Amino acid sequence: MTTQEREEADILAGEYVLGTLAGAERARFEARLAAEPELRVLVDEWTNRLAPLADALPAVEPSPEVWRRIEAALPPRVSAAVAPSLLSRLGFWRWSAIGGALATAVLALFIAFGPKPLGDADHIVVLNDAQGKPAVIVVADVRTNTVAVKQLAAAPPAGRVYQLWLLADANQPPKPIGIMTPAAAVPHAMPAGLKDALPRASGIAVSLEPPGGSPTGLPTGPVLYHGPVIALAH
Amino acid sequence: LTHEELATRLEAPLGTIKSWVRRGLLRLKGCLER
Repeated sequence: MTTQEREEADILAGEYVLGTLAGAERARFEARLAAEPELRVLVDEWTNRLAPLADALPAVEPSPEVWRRIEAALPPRVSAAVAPSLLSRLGFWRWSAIGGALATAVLALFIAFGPKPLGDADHIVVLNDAQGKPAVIVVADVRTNTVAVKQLAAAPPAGRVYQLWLLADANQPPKPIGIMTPAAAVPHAMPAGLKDALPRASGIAVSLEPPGGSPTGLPTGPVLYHGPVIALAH
Repeated sequence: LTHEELATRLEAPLGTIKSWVRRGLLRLKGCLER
């Protein structure tokens, strides 16, 4: 490569990492990337330069209005036939700054509760692990007093259970609301008091506890997953 | 966002956007290598 070719390749690598290089230009660059190790070095350099900038940007949280619009856009009944249009919608969300977290949450909802209409829920909680990966999804409908808890994370270690906690606010201790079981993924009646407490709660957390749950009424093991309560407007 | 999407959003010609991105990348590289 001449100096000029190298400069040109360096800019292309920057645009490639930045994501502005698209279409045929991107395909051409990717083809060169496979054949030219020098380009791979340039791409790695740009990744190292740009990644800290992406990390420094604040996360963009979807507003309640976005949830309302998603709901309005969803068909009343979810079936296999609507899946492709949902995926194309997700393409839009990924493209917009709202991005990954929301797409993941919506996608996880459909994986977890595919045949069940989303219109039956008025509160959802996506509990993430320390890496931000969804681990547990809680879908609740306080109007009908039903709740379903879907576990996406691996099963707890032998001799331990996952216990769910309702986080009211900073001034109140977490309230135990149940032990996670595979059967909880099927919509069932809410534990007593949850119907009134859930809409006012800030979030739900999961801790690792001995069989039967924490003996003290407060989490005794590590809090592994947590997420905010999201109210869906109806 | 691609060059085309940036051009639409910022209502600027595609060539201008490409040149902005190019200048920005060069300056960023210059800053980080100093």
